[in-house]
Amino acid sequence: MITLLLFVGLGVGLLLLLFLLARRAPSVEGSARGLVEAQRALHTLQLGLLPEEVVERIFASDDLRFVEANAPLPVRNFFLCDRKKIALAWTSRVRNQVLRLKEYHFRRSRFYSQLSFSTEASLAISFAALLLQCRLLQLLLTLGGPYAAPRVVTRTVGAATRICEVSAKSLAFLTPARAHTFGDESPEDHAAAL
Amino acid sequence: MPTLILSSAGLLLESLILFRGLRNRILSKYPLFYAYIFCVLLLDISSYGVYGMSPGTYRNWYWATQIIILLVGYGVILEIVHKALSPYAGADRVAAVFVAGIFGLVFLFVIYKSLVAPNWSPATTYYELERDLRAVQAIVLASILGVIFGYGISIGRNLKGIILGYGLYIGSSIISLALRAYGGTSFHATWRLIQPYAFLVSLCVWATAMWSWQENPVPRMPDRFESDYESFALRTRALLGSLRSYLERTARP
Repeated sequence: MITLLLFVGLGVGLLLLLFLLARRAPSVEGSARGLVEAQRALHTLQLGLLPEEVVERIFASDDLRFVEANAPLPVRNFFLCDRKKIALAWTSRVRNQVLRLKEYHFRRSRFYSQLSFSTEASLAISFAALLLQCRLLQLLLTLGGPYAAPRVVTRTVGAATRICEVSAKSLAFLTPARAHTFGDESPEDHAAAL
Repeated sequence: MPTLILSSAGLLLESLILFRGLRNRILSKYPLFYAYIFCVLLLDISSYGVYGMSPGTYRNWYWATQIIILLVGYGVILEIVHKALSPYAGADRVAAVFVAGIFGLVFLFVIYKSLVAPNWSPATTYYELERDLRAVQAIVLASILGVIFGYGISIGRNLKGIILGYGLYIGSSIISLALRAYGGTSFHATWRLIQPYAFLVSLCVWATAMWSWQENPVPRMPDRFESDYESFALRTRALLGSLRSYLERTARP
């Protein structure tokens, strides 16, 4: 029975992949749009679309304490609902940055003949772990409300820390000259490059 | 009667695909795919002869042809890899590692089982043998699709059609062969129904996709392209690090 399930699962999995391939929109090879979008998103991130004070405010419990102490229950419920929406929007934004970074990396690395399979594999795992954590964060924010976030975010940070552990070896070689960010390139450079 | 209609439709579509390939000169672009179609057509026609002359030997003949077609099918997979990934040196390298790894694992598994259990055989029936070989094809094709999706590789209509048609046949074959191997003769009638219909659907996909030549999208290398892969990978890692710092800040409230 296990053998049967394994083979049927394999067949169904392949058919699902083919379904995705059939539904895949034909992307224009060499289109600058994806890379320009990725680069713009990274600029936005680095220039502070997620500034510390905003993040602190989203997950701060001071506001909740103030509302609990001074406002009636309907107002408190409205406040929690609103804050939850904001927290979810924030998480969704972080996830989008990770997705764009991933797209940026893999759309470029595919051209490297000297590409290292192990480096690519570890980066793919790191991206997948971070995206999964973001999804988990979204799920727990939905279920537990906005103030479940600090604990959940700590778990997300744990995953991100593991990413850094994986990359520790390579980061040792990162010299200041090389440590420029993706944001160094302008969207026009990308458009011209492509 | 339905079997005759099905077989005739199959022969017609195989001939049509070859005819269009010759006429539009797509044949030279995908030689292994057309070799596969030619092989299927040839064996289908010869099967009629064998069945007419000696129905008793037909069963063995059928399975022999199935194994030949299956092995020629590996050429189609090689062609898919070559056509889809050759302009992308990095992605091609990843796919090569995947494919070599899969074949290496299968080989090691067979060696290990043969040593541990001397009476062990990879397959005791033709159904099991074909199922296992199709499963290896499915894993290889799924890995290639994973590379295509992961690296955002664009493929043209012809190649997409080849992948869809062949993948569809492999997927449905695995499911029906696994059920046939598990259910025995009670599932034989269903298996005999699924297999030819699935192949007919694949032929329809191929006939549509290969009707005319469409070049695969040609990638353009970014101008500002670092020659060193490691430094590029390091930049990605550095950016992942900066993302981490944002997340760390969120943990403080």
